[in-house]
Amino acid sequence: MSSSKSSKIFFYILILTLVFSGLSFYTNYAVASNPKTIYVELSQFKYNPGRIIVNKGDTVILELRSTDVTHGFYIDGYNINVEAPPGEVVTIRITADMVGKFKIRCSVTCGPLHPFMVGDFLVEENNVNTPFIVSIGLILLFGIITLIKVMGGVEI
Amino acid sequence: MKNLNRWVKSLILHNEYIDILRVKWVKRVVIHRAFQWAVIVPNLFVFWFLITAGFVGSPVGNMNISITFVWMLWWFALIAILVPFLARGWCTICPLPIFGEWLQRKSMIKKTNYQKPLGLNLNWPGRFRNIWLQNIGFLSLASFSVLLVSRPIVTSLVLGGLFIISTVLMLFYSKRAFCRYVCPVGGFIGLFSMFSSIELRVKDRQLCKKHITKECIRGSDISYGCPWFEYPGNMDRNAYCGLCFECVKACPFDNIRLNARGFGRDLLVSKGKGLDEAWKVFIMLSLAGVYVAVMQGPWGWLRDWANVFYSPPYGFALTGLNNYIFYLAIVWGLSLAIVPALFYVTAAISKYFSESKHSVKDIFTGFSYELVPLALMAWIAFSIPIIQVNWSYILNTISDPFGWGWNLLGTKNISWNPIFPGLIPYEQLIILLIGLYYSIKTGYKLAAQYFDRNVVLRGFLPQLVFIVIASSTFAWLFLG
Ligand SMILES: [Cu+2]
Repeated sequence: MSSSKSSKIFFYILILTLVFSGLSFYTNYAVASNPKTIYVELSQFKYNPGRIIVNKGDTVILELRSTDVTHGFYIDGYNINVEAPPGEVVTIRITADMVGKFKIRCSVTCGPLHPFMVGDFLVEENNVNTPFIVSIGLILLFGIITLIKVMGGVEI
Repeated sequence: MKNLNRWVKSLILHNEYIDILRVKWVKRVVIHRAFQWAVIVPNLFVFWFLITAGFVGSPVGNMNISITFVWMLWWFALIAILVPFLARGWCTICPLPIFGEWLQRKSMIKKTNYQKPLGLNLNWPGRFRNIWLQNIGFLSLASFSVLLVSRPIVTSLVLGGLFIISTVLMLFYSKRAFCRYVCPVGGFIGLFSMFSSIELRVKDRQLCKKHITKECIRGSDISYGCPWFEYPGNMDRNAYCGLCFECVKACPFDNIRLNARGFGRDLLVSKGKGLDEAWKVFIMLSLAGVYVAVMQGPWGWLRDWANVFYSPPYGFALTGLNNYIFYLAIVWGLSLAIVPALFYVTAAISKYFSESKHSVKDIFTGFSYELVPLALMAWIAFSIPIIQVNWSYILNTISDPFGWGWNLLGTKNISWNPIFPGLIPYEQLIILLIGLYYSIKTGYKLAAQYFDRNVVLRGFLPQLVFIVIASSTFAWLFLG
């Protein structure tokens, strides 16, 4: 096989890989269209919906309601941290100005699995999770660079 | 300082070995008979304290020092620092087998007459001279990992149980058979140690060959024979070297070195490779994904499945057994069957592309080691938020170890405040890219070993696709 042919195959495989990796599966999620209220249920040790997906620039109103004990609602990087006592509805307003996946975390010790009570706040750009796409691109690019570098350095 | 500088350089350039034992005080410390005793005993007291805390303290994980010290501090230090930089350095200071070892030797520090060790001193059975027991042990622990890392009492039972099992086994079987063949933690430490930037080796193999008395195996007046059943003279992987430094004490020719070296070298060594270790790789790679999904994922239902025996608020009651069985099927099926099967297909395609004379099984086993760096980095990426987000719980429990409301050092009320949590996914991506780099590098070098020179790239391509897909899957878990 000529080297140009094998590198062609190599790139086809990479493109296939890219497409393959791009297929992601989602849990039950809520997509906000402007301005939208999303009802979030908090219970030991989960948020429902587990993923809140919005677009950059959206303003969302979250109505938090705990069904058992007091939980917290903290979003990484978004400077949001509220408590939700059981039975009450706590309303918060978020303007999604940063793109990416930000973990929602419980900030009030609520039981044994409290540190694992997490959810996702995903801010997309025009319904595209840009940082994830870029990360796949980086993996491919970095992979190719590594391969070229290693091929140059190994005696074969 | 100069040495540190050279070490860093050798890590990056991979072109140099530096003998750390040439640093005089290091050598003097490790050849002292009291060295291991001195590092283990304080650790032993800490472990006892943590086990006690698990039994008497708060049932809420992050309010009990047993959980914060074991599953936050120790775990992070082990996977992100000790294993990558110091190989089995943890085994040097691990207190679990120490009662057994003291009993066997009838001594804590001094070298005693090794001809009559206490206990039966049996040989470890031949069919278990592999790491399958460790594979099964680790999967068994993983099966209730959510309980383990969240319930202090479960952690105490497991640690206490390991103390008892190690001691009993060491009274039956000689030396550290427990550590090498049974300890569920030892299995993955050994695997990942092969990636580590340190190694204990002999300086001159010819010297060992000609040397008849071989005190490193048989022991001497001042040292015990290798407790890990290794012979330093032909050792070229870290996997089963417990870094106890008995051989350094033993060698009359001063023929042992402790090298700082580049990452990942042992993964290219063909001697010693086996299906037991290959499966350990798949277990570690698969479980990294499962742990991220269960403990840091948005899927609450998955957490519920894993959290069997849950009864609010802190009790134990069997709930959702059916779902738990699903969860077990995921944990065991993914790591023992699905991921290995996908890799087997990859190996078969590699064989087809390269027209290699090696069997698919040989390619499967040999190339599985290319996944070690990626698996290790996935575990490190998983462990990053444990500290970055929950560091305050460690400080809180230092002041209030049992969750009884004490405030010994004034750190009880430090509030939960993650450090730059918005950066975590990007840190995880960078760590993944490091794993990708070393995995591709290892895999290509393996391809150069296995395949004819004109088909190395062709044979490696399927492996590359597997590595890229595995990396992308983790990227999806962290950023998707
Ligand atoms: Cu909570």
